[in-house]
Amino acid sequence: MKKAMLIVLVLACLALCACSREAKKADIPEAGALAAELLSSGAFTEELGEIGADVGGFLYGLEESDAPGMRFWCSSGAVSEEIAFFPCRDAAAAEKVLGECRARIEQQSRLFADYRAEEVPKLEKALVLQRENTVVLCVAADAEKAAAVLNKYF
Amino acid sequence: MVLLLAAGFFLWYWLETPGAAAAPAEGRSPDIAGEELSSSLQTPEPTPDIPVQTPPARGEFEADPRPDGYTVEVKAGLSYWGMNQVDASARIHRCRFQSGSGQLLPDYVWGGEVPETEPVTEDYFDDAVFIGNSLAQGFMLYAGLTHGDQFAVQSISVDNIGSERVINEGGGSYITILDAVSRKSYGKVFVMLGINELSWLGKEEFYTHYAALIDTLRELQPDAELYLQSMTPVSEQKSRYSPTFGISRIHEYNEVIRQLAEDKEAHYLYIFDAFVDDTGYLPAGTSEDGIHPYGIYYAQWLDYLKTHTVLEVKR
Repeated sequence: MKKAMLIVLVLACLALCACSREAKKADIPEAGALAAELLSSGAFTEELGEIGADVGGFLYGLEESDAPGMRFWCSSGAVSEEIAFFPCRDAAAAEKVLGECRARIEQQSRLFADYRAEEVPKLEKALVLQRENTVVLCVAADAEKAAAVLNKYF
Repeated sequence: MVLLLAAGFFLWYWLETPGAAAAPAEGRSPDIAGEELSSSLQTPEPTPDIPVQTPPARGEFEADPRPDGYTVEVKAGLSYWGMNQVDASARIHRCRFQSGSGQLLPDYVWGGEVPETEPVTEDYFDDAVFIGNSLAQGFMLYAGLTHGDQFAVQSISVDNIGSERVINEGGGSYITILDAVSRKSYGKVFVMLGINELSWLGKEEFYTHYAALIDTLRELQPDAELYLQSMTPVSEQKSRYSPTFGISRIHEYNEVIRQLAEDKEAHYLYIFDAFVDDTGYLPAGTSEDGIHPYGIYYAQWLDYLKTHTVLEVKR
């Protein structure tokens, strides 16, 4: 009986711990607010500008229907830094977006290797995070600062 | 009691693992997330002790001797009418511009700058395709033009535009820019190339390779008018400390592009004008690297295109 109670107690504690860890993740803010928080974190060397969803989707090989409300922030072309936010329509779309994000990073790494090799380490530290059906990609000069922001939500 | 114990355990856990939630790149993230790789510190760009080059005013360049014996007559800076007067012996083609007065201009000299015209609406670009390098990509991302097609990626040059697979078709499939251009019939092809070639192509090679590209574009788009866009200016600081991107070299390579427009009967758009300040450079504070303007400035490029148009060409 004591063993059973102990097991129940441990399980209860574990469950509470798990709940507490989940609770530490704040609600994902609106894309613009998240981008603003990232951009003010000091993680970027350049002020990124928002580009249209159609152009951003073209860069990633994605349709608006994959992630309605997807938004993108890119550099002037001088650096590889960028932010992409994908509120995907469902789990399958999120999986597709993850694949395209990986492909985007690989492609950018390949192109920048011969173009501006100093950008490649940023791409190697790119953050691609998912929480439920929301995916975010972040290429920053200081990946740790970017992670400090994103890990509050993802 | 159980709850107290649970709360105590929870408190202990929370105190002992303060960084748990802040750990980067958790398991659900792809394998590239949070991967720590050593970053290579870049050696600062050398700052050789070179004299500051004062950019020549437009129209004042020395003739550029070419290996095949001819010299380039620099027409930059002259107005359309002025150019027409000094270059009357050039091949003349009938071309109608929408000038401010609505006047029909009688003759057109290939290789002259497309003159300023009344602004057109953006549907003028419905049958257009824009191709090129990182500057063209900046235009694609930030100019806000939603008409026509655009295929532009950083690192693209006259040599790799037909071989580098850079256009994302989705699902991990990429095609070249020329492949993308070949999939549809266009009425106008706008080309922006040159800045990358400054690093590794001499002017003669640049001319030869660009000419071959123009021939290829003619094959792919036989009914399209070709628009060769000049390079944009660099900042004074970039010009001073990076000889490769010196403003004088920009002018020299722009002259090659202009010559190509003349020789290949393409239209020459002097985009340089859309960005240059009174001192002859990209204004300070408008670019991170002295080459690529910040996004907000690309609207100037679109405004330039909308006010420098060719409405009809009769060959």
